[in-house]
Amino acid sequence: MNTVIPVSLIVLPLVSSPLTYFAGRLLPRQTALARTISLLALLGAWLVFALVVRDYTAPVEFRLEGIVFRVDGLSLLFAALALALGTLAVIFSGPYMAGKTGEEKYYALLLALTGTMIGLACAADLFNLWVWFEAMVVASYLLVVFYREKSASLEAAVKYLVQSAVGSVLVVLGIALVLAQTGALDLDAIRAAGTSPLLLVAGVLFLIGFGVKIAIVPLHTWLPDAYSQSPSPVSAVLSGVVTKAGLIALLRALAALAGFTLSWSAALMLFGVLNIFTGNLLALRQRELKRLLAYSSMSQIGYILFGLGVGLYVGESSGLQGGLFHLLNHGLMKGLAFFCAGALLYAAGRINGNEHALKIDDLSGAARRYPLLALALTLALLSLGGVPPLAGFMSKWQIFVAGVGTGESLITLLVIVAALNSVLSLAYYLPVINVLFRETPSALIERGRTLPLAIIIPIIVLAAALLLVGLWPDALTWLTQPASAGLLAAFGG
Amino acid sequence: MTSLNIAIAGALVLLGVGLYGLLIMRNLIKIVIALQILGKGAILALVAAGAISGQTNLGQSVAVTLIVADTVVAVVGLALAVQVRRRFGSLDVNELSTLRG
Amino acid sequence: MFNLVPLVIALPIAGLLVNLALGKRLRGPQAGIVATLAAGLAFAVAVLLLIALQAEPEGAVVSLGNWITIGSFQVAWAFRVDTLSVTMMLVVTGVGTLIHAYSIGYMQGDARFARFFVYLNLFLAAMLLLVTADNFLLLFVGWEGVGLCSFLLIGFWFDKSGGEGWRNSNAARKAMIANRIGDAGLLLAMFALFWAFGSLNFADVFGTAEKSLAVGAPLATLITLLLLLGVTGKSAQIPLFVWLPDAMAGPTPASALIHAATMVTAGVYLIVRAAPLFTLAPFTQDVVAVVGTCTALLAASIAVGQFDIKRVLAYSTISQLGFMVAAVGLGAYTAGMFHLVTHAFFKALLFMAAGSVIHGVAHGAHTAKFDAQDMRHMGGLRGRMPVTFWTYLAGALALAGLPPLAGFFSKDEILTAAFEHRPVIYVLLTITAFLTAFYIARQAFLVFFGRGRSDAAHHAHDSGRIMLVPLIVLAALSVVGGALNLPGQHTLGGWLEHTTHEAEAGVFNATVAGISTVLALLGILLAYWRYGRQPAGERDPLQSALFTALNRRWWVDELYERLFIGPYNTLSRLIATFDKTAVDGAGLALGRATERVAEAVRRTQTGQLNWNVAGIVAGLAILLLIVAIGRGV
Repeated sequence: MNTVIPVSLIVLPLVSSPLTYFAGRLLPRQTALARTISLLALLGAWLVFALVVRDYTAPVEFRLEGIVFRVDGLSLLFAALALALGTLAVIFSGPYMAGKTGEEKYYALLLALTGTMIGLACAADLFNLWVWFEAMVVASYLLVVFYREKSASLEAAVKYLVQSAVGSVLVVLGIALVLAQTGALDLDAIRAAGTSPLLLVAGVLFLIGFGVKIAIVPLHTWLPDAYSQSPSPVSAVLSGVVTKAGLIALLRALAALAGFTLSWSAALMLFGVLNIFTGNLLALRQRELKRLLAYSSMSQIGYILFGLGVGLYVGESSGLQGGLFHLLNHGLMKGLAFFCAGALLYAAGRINGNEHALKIDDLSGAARRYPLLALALTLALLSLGGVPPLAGFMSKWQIFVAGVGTGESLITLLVIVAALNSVLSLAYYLPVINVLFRETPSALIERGRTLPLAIIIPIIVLAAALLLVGLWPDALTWLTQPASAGLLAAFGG
Repeated sequence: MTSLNIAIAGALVLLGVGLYGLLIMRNLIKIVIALQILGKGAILALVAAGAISGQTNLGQSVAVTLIVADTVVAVVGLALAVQVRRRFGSLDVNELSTLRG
Repeated sequence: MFNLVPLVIALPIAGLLVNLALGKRLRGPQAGIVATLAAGLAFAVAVLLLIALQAEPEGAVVSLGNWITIGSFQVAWAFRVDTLSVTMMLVVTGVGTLIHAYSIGYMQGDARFARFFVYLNLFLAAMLLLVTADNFLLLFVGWEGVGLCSFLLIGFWFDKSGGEGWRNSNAARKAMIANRIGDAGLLLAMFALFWAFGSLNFADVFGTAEKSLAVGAPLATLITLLLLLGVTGKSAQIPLFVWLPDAMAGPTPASALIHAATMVTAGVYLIVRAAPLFTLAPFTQDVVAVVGTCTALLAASIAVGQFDIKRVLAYSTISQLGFMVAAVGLGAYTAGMFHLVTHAFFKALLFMAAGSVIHGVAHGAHTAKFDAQDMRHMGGLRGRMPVTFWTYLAGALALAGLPPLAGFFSKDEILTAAFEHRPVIYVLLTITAFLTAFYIARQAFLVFFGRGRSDAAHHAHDSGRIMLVPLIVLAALSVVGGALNLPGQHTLGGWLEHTTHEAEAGVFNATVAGISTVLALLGILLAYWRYGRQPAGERDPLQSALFTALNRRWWVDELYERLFIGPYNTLSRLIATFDKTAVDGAGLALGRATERVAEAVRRTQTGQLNWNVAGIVAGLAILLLIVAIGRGV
């Protein structure tokens, strides 16, 4: 394949980011131009993506000034997710962020965030991986603190920044250990250098360092604040994609450390179940919608970790495929849920930094005034709770089947715990749905304004995708299958 | 190689001081400083790692990039500190705990 | 051309989507026209498939890709085009289109007119999925789908006043429960199939079964018996038949489409489709034949004692389904399918004619409390509703089995098969045939002959053209439908042979045909003697202990009430008490404990930055410690 095409997949959003910014600065009153440029850039990226997929047969490697990139199944899977939520977030933000100070900066940052995530997914050496990760994190700081005059946003951003920075330092220490031990940073070269106990320590540093971004318990404390205080489209991108970027980086880094696959798989399974349980308990008594969704993300990520751990443990792709399938599905479900929350905030006119103000009781009677919205949110929540035949059920099911398929009684026990937790999670999803369909509308709903098309479109798209994937789980196999096979090969399975 | 040992010891000390600072400091500026100390420790460790493995060039070029990234974080952190002082009237991070539960 | 098959399902779905989206904006009959158009187009596609099959009678499987892949378990969106599925498609879409058109007139002015057509289209889609599916799971989706539509349509008038709405929704519930019991059987059969053969594909399952199982293998018997349980639910056979008569609470077109022509025949279709399995289980085949025969006889006898015009037809349907089930139990798959097709023609016709009568009488009624379905209030409608009468007569004579109408040939094939293999079944079915002629003639005399016995009957008038045209088409089909499989020609037999591989061509037996014709004539004569000569009053001339037993349906419903529903209710009350005290207590305690833990965990989210960093450090320390211990450092 011509390397120009995959390169432009990364470069296009990154180059358009400053363009968007300058367009916004030059015509301060015409933010529509900035928005159009960012949308066009993303559409262009989609086009490139389609070209890459069309020609894709085997992983493609290319160098940019000595930096190694490799486009493989996992890169494509993650690029698809990043582009999907990025595009929908830009569309959604049109009315949502209209007239805010720094709107042009917002779009520029969203583009940069999308571009850096695609870059991260294609990075093929350890340091390159770290640089993309760091760039992505910086872009996301600035988006989290977009309402910088609001004290709650500031508080969330400070915690997010400090904790992420500590995680980054730990990753660098891990890189230093690897470099000292193997003398290489290229992932393949590290793997070729063989195994040593110090690499196990390096892996622990990666696990904790990237784990901050993945929100592994007990490194998760920044997550509820950051998710609930960001503008809702940003929340959707954060929980749908950015969190998983940490996971992708972690998988890439761990795969290079030969000989410890069983340790990593055990760690992933245990942290997975811990995350599922803790996330559910934290969400159980939550009265704010966006915070509830944030905590539920922790538990959903637990399922992904668990599936990946199972797959690595037995060296079969079905668990990995289930985990990656759930990763995609979670992007769709949580993206949809945050978009719905955002739509309600928009309807209420509370989009100026009071993002946490949406109590669950405020949703009362939403089904009468906003039937489509209520239906979409119901779909998203039921799917998160793993109710068949929605997408979330299909991927969880695949993970559980893979877990039981290992034949290990301990793993089967963990599967049972995870499955029971799925029921426990309904204990906080169902009351929300119940409130949606109440007879008496809340004050917020009663005074709510009508929703513009740009807010409704992303919601419809994601809801339709959820249904489609639920009815036809194989619809995403073209992404998950090469990704899981490649991952398995990288881990030497 | 004694200079290498000194570098490793220095990195460990910097890391320890940085983490200690993050755990007990309450002033946001001091926390940003602690983060910087932590980052410098990591940079030192990288340079040492390059020297150990005989890939001095690689270690150093990575370290330079790291300094840039570290600075960006420091800038954002200090900008946040300015805003925090403005909104909260104080730099005490314990005041920044309205979001809990 | 076989690739068109997904369209057959997609067209009704498109129709219902249009009606869902625009339902509130469509005026007058527009929603009905959209739905009818969708059904008609689906019929056109089915005809195209028929033409394609003429060239390649072995058919094909059209796969749209994988549906579910879990490990080695794969289920595809695969549709089967063969002579059997296309026959079913033609019946479902053909009769379905006529009933859609008829409904435009029948449901005119109903508050939920568009909703009704949405349900009808949904039903068509589900039924077509059922008959085109290439694996058991997809078939099950359709199977459940038609059950759902049946539930929705039986309870369509759940909001009628005066307790009637309540009765309607109760009937819907009864149908749902009876069907669920059957569905459980089908589901268990699917589990067993997957466990035994590792696949749910028809070709895989049947191929492996034929290779690995001997005739009479216990596994085959078990699976087919479980399938039979499913059949008794959906096709209203003993012991699960009680739901179908109550299902007449739904609007008449729904009764014609779902509870006479198509859905209830799904069980027969399932047996024919799974014929390779049934062939391996002679014991089950005997059970099937016995169940069918007993159902046919019992239901026919009950039909004799009913006064409700639709109830007679409902029991008649059960009885005729019994004929088909008996036929497939005897291994006479062609005869069963033949009767399925002709029955779809004349029973849909009879239901719609009955609907036309009810429509006409109800419009003529002036008192509020008037049962427009009670035959004792009718009579003499021959003159007032001539088109309805003549078409009805064609259907009735076809059902009675008079030559040369459609019912004669198909019923005769079943009787001949029984005569050759199982004399006892032959005798019982012949008695049933006699009863059939009697009860349908009784209905004809009570409704159309003599003098009107109520004010409403005097003022009744024929229905509009949109309702009468489908009647005329179906009447024509009921008259000439026998040509499908004439003795000596066996068009349908040769056609289905490509799928069922049933070599045996039914022979025409003059004795059998003669006896059944004579008995049918006798039945009609007897009915004339009892009901035709003088106007029947409130009391039936057959008033006797026997008639009471027939009228009360042999007390089967009461028996079920005593045997199952009563004890079940007592049991559920007991369980409820136990549940409220013991289980709820434990559950509440568990719930409270969880909430308390959740509250405690919530407090760990302090919002303090130092604490948060401590979390990271602690996580790192613990993991490093584990590594250290593991390494023995």
